[in-house]
Amino acid sequence: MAGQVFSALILLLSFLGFLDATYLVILHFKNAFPPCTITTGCETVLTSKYATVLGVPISLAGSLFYLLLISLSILILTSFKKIFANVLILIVLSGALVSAVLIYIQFFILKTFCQYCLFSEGVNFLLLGVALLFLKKKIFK
Amino acid sequence: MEKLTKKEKKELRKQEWQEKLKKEQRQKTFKKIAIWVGIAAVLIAAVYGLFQIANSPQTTSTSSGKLPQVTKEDPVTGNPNAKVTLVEYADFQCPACAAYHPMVKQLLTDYNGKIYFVYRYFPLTAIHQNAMISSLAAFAAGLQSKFWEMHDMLFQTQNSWASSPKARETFIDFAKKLDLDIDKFKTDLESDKGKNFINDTYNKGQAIGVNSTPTFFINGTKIQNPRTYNDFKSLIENEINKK
Repeated sequence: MAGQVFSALILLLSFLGFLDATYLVILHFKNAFPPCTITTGCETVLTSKYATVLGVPISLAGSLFYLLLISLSILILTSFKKIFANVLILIVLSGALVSAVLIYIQFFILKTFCQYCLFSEGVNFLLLGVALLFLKKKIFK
Repeated sequence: MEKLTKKEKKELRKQEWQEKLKKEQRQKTFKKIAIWVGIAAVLIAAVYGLFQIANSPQTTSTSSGKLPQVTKEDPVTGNPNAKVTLVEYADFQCPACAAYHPMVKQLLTDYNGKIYFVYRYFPLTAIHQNAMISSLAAFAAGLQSKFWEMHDMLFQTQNSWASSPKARETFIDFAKKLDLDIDKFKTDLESDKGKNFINDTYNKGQAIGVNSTPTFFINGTKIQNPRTYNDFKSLIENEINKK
């Protein structure tokens, strides 16, 4: 039961993250910019040199990251194997680390924020929180 | 009904049980497939929805007010009698504006004589530390009839001064390169006249709903920022071909 709650939470969060990241991917390839209001600097962030790594937009990596998490959580729900849970926790952990770096770049290097990015980073930390909570409860032991 | 032997009864029960197990197994597999298909459908629908959102034109704000008339103080270029008037609200420190700069330049070359282009100051001072000083540099250059030269230089070199605390010095160097009267340039950088005009343009822009940069108006109608140069071109061509 706890395992199902866990998977459902991961699934829900990943879905939200997927929506956010995919929206940015679409805009990136349309060469458009999301509605940027005066108080935020999303255009600055999204057009900065940090928004792409070797030509690949970070949003695309994010989108695939959430897709992978969605698949893993369904696998856990339907045909549980411990390895799925372990891989999932590893991925969530790396996602949170990348988010920390991205937040650092926004706060200290660009000094402006992009609400879409911050949302995704928030989701990643929540994912980490959920993963750690369940890891602590040892539901997969 | 003939009586079954004990052994036969046992066999039958076993068969029934196996059947039941198989059925359950099938149902389980079916359920799994249903979950995967269901999730895939939701994801596809979501992506489709996002495409719709991304494609929907941003709320046009032409209803909230008319684009201010072009005045003699506005930096303009091209043919004033052209059928198409393109107005851009921009900030010299906005990366998206710098990204659009080559497109606008290309348009002005490709449709030489057919476009009247107006630049409107829209410095996003809340997020861009050098937005105001760069606008002032362009304004001061404009007082010596070199607005467009400074405008191009600012956009082309944006990365080099965007986060620089010494942007003012950089702009004075630009002025030297453009052979401007440096003393006059420096005085104009500080003058209230420039600041007032820029703020006035900004406020009037905000009043008609400009809230991001760049924002383009073609013949007074706000357009959704074109994705590509070709999209931009067809917007201009549509307007030229209109009667």
